Amino acid sequence: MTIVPRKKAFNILVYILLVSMLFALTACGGNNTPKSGTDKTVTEPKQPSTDTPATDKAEKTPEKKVTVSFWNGFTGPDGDLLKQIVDEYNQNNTDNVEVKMDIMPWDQLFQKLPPSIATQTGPNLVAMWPGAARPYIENKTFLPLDDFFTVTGTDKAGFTESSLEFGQGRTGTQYMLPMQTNGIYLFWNKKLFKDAGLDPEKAPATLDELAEFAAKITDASKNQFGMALPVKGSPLHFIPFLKGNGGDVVDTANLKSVLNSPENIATLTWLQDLAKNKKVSPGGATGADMDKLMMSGQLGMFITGPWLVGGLKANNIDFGVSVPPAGSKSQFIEVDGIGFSVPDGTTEEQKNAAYMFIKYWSSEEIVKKWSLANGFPPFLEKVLNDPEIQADPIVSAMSAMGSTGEPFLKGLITADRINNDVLWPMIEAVQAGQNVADVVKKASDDIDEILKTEP
Amino acid sequence: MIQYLNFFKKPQGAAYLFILPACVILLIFTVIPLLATLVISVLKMDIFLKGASYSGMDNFQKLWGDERYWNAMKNTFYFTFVQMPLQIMLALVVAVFVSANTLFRKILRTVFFLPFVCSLTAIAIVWSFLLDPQTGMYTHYLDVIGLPRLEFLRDPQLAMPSIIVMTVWRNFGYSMIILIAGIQSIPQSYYEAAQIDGASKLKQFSNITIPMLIPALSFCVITTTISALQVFDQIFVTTQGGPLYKTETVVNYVYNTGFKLAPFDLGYASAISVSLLVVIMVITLSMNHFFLKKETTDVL
Repeated sequence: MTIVPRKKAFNILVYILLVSMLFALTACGGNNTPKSGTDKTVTEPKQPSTDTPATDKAEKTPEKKVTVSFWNGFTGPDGDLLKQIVDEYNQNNTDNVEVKMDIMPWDQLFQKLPPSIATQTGPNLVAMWPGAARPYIENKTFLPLDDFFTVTGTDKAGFTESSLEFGQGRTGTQYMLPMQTNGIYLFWNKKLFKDAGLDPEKAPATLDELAEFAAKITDASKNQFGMALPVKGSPLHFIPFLKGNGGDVVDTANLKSVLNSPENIATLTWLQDLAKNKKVSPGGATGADMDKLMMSGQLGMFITGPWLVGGLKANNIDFGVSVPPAGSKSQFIEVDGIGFSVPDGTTEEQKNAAYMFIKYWSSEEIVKKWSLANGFPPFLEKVLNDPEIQADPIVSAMSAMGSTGEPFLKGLITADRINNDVLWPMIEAVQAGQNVADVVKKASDDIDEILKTEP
Repeated sequence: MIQYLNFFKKPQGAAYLFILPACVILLIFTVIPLLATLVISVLKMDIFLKGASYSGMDNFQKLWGDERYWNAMKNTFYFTFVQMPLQIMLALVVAVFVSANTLFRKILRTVFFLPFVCSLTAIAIVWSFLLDPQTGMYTHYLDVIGLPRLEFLRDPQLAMPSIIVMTVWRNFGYSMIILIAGIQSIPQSYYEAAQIDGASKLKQFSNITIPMLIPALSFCVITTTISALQVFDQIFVTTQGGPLYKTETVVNYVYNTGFKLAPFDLGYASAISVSLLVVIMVITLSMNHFFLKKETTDVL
């Protein structure tokens, strides 16, 4: 046997160690997970489920199971119900489709989504609100979904008009299909109303009443506030005020800012008085801060979406909900929602599989279940008239939007940017006490600059 | 082939093999991204990587007229040139106090260093809870002693100072450790000679400790300055650049421009990054030159 000298053996050992470290480093960067949505496993067909609607003009059921990767940001309590619905679909569907859901915080989803689409590793189905979807629609990263109704045989007329409207581009192409719709409503704490000598069953009907009630409820010694006036992270609470008083933000037909108007300046001056002088709201607070205050019973009124309902019920807050108060000219309710979209890179087979899941989601049973559990108004006409829906005081109140509900900044791809870069900083400056006319003029100019980038 | 293998057997050759893994990591995670940023900064490109086109110096020209960029640069300088001196001075004073090798002082060193080993994000989250005007512990105690509940992170005048205090609290331990090492390397004979000559403690500190600490101090000042100019985490977690853009720094602006809001303009975001790189380089080289000169002068 040849005896290797000790020094030479040591050197050989060192070289082996270094080379293996190099290999380990290069192996670390590899992505060994399969491309999302491409897993195909063969399974025995499931028994027919009574959950899916009877009529079905879908393409022939694929022989191999098609996996649909689905990203969304439902990290709250509604996420648990969503998981349950997806699991039930996976167990019972006869479409040979499996939905693999990935729930993450919204900001993480928006960070991950663009590079994943760019590198063809994105999901096959994604849920988000229309404002966030606009840039993807504009650069054709989200696919048109007009063929959903013909492929699946779903009756388009069964959907509420506003639920389809918010998912359309400016030319009317359907890029999003409704997952949930909501308006922005006024929530009020009945106990605080009663303690302040107000009728707990009667919400303020006008902006003057809103200001009066807010001032009566505010009590700094108890850390109690009359009205939420957040500066970010919430639906734009002041849009009903501006529009109700005859003002507006953008002339969407001519792509021009109309923010700088006497009506808007008067409305924002009124709002400044509420925030700065009457101190009806904690200064500089975000939507999340206001949610906490409302759920801890320290806030009288909050104009926000139905996602607050679960938290209010869990914290035993006796609350009422109604449409926001009317302005001097009209009443405006913003309609919003979350829709399903299919990103670029999804194959035709995966898209059709996604359609099957969306069809299941849009069935009367699931729409009603989601609506009653989360307090969101249903987006199917038939479900709106369902006795159980009508009997729920919260859901029926939210459903009664009438003709006043419409999307804000409909069809603009820069909607999110206008909201975050202009309108929120504007309201923050107004509520901090800066000169309203100057702030509004600057904001209007900024909106015009942003609108120049609209195609 | 054998010749090459023989080269790696020598100490200087083997050294290259040992630093090779670190060089590979540096190449992949620093050099290549840096070169990519320089290239992207002259392109018109969004995050979807569709339709990228050469735009020359358009992105850099846009910087000059961008009010928000200059506001971010101003905030970055404000943060850096308040936080860095505070951190170094606090670290120096504490280092002098805890440099002696007693058990108590060793325990103190550990206590002061502990915040540095914690995640900056976690610290920022905790501080944002502590400073909350409605539910925060610090604001509660202000209320208890009869002072108004200050809105630390919501008041435009107080937001950046609050973040500076949080950062100094978290980071000064690291500078302290470096300075302690420097202090402990100063020969005791200098202090003894000064004592014999009748020098007071303050004179000893200013004429012996400080000059002898120049190398350690220069390291701390330069690294703290570079780190402060790149501040992001604590601002992202606490104020997101608000209120009224009073805490939006350059790196926050890069993030907001390239990754947060449409049109996800990576080209412009890269141009902003390149401008920050130039600023950091100029400041670092100037500081380096200053401290080198100081060292040389003191030696002579």
